[in-house]
Amino acid sequence: MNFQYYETLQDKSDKYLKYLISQIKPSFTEGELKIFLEELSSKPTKNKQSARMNLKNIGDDYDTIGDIKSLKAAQLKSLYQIFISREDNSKFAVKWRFYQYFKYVQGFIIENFQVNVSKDNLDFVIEMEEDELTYIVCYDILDLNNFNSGVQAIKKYSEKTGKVPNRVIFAAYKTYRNIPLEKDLDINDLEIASEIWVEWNDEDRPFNGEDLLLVGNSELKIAGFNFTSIDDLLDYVYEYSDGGQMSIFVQLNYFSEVSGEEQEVELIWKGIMLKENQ
Amino acid sequence: MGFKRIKHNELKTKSGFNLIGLPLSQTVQSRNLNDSKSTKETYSWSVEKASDISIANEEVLDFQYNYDRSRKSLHGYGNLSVSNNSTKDRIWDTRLEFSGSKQTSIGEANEVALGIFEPKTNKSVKYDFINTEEISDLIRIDEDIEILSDKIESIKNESEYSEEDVKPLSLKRNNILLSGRENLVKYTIVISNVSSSIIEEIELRKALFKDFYEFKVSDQTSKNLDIKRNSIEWSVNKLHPGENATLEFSIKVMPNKSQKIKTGIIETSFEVKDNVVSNVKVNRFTAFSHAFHAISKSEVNHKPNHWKCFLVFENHSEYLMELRTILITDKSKTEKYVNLNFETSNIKTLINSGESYQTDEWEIADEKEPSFFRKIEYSVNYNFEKSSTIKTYFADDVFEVVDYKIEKLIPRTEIKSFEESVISNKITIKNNSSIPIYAVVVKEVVPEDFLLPMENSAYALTIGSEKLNPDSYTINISPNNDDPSITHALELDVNLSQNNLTYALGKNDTLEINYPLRAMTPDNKKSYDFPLEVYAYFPKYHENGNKGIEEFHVIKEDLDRDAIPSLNISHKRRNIMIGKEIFPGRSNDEFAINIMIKNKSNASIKDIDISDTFPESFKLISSNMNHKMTKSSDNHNQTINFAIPNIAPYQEMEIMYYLKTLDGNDVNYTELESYFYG
Repeated sequence: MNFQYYETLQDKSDKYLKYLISQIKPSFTEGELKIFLEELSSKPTKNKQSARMNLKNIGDDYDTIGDIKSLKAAQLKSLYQIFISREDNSKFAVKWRFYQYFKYVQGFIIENFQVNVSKDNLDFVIEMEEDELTYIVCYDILDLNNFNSGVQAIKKYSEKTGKVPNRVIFAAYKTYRNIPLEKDLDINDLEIASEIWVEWNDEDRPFNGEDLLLVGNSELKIAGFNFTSIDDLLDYVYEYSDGGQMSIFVQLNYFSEVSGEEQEVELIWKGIMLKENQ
Repeated sequence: MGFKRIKHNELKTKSGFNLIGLPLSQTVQSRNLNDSKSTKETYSWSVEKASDISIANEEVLDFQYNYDRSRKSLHGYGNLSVSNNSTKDRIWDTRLEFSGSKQTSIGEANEVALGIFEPKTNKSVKYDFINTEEISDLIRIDEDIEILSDKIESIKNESEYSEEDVKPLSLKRNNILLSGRENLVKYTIVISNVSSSIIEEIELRKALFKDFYEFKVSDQTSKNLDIKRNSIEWSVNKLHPGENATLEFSIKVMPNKSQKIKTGIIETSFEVKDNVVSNVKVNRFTAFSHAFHAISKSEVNHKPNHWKCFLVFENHSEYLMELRTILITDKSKTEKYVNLNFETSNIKTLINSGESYQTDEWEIADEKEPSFFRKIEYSVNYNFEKSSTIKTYFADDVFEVVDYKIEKLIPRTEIKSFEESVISNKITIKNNSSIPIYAVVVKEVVPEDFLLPMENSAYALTIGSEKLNPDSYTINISPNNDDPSITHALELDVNLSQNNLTYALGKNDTLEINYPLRAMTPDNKKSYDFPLEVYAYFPKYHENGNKGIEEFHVIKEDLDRDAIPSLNISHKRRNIMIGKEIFPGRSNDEFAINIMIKNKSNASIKDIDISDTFPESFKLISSNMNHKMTKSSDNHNQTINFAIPNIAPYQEMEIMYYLKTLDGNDVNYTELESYFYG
């Protein structure tokens, strides 16, 4: 069972919502939470020319955890709708869900992560190792017009900075099929392939949003709503565990059961995660 | 927070919630995967051969239904897109006239100027569905869930209302499972095309509870089934209007009380080709590309100042062009030399790329080279395709796990053989289910030598402390007589003929039934069985809104053999032997009298009175038991009397008393032996 939409939630108390929000993984750092809340309240930047890029470094303070104690009801509601029930599929929601996902997705070694908090189309600029650049544009629904606008924003930024991205990612909740992926983008006279990443919900995954996921051989206890597929979960576990021989268990309906009875756990994945230092 | 990278092939061909628009067909998809190089050519050829300009009207609708099949929501949108598929030519002054409908966010009459299309570009008009309540359902999904068990029967009591008045789908059904047992659950899912269009490529996904096991399906349908861990996917190629497709499968589950077992949601997706739900229509499309038109004016050889004229229209583009009208007049537009309207004909006048059209000649007299006013209407030809992609979601319900216990108690555990006696019979039925028991039928077979009470009032029924009104239950004894030589069957119907639910057995309620049973001539050599069956009527629907028709799941329970109370028929016949023996004492004048009482039966024998008489010449010395002495009236004899209150079955008792002759008296042994009473 996944979490209900906010409006149908019976218990909307701050205490309960804060409890659930504390289960959002990866946890927000202090800086991330600050930027998220600023953008949420539409006061994103001191620079009032919203058309201009306003890039902020994000995620550098990875050893801190954002304080959710003082969050207000409206902020709690948004966090719930974006990360727990996932009913909010706006561009803003997609952007921040993608950011959370990018914190643990495999295959990217991030040197510097910048978020654009202005209204411009380009949302993230990421410097990978060996000076590789990835530009990310997020949309609720990616159609041809949005795609073209995103391409223009990338071209404009590339011209301004003189840098050409190695990868261009369009992240969206849904996409139309007529996006010309087969055609490379022409940026500063270089041909760059574009990529589309959509939110992917594997309905056959062996856990639900209200389940608790327990990772054997580590201290990890994670709420199921953080992940939409087993691959998603494995990426997270790989990133936030020491690796080795791993077993992942699910405790069904942990976040919805009211009874105090000891619930059974079920093994859903077993295998070895090798890390470079092992 | 999972995302997935979608590759180009997947974007075009993969089905998925996040991908909007129709995927290419499976055939094209297969070719794509196998040979991407040749695929590109094949695909572009197939489109461009038909037309270089294509207009596609695609609609996507998402129907959501509650479990009772009432519609929860409907959202949808449409996309009217114009694509210039040419790799070389542009089109310009592109205009699209179309009409919406009441169900769409676009008005009834629309004209949009789409301007110039570069090669390989497209533009689209999007619209949303509004007033969705006016949109009819396209499919109906009926799901019947049946537990295949000899313990469950489905019963429908009909009253004055006909079946046609009832819409079972509008009622929320109770689907039941038997607690603690292996349940064989049969699902029957019927997809009905209730639209007026052919629906195609139907994909149905049925979610299954994780603890279900032993999935079985008939061979006929299994070809189109994909069985996954917690779901099955069933595909149906095509359904014409009014047609049905049925999927039947069975599965097993053993529920325990704490489990919440869901019946499983049903999701479908299908396509309606060559049609759109909204009735959006393209009324006219015009676009121009490279075309050349000229009027040839030649002075007639033998008639100076007479000109033979004709118009030639040449298609210089790669598109197929449609000529619509040609009007050629004089400058003042009063005289019409050519006035052709090709649109009135059902057959289009199409000009292939590089080809031309020439009008008939007309002749005009003019000293100078004549001039004409001409108006030519043409457009690039286009291919129009319509399609709708429909998704439906049908919510599920929770199985009710039903459980009730029956007990029988006979407080008196033993009765005597061949003697009439009355025993009380107590039957209790406890409902441990989350849904009520609306009615109960108790069937008990009473063997010969026993009789049931014939009067309704002899049966006492209570729920908790509330006594049931005798009107709410009926008894039926078959055969209806008082003959103890034959077996009688009792049927006790509780609340069965009543539509009021005053006495429904709620969760944890107990129905207690008490009635007397007369044992007439119970024979200890016979074995008597009192088989008991209980039929509990659980409602098939959540609400009692089914006006006059009560449908029930009837669940039968037998009283376990171990739970049948034992009734002993004791057969006790008394058998006693009382004997007397005289032993001489140490001296000649002493005697010991031994009286032996043997109870040789299985019954206790009470109040045994033994009297022995001895002559007056003897005197009693002692006795091992309390006694009473009496003398005869003539004083010749004395009687010693022993009263034994009880002697247990198979017990022996010995009475010993000692006598001594009085001095000088003769001993008459005969008298000692005689006069024994007992």
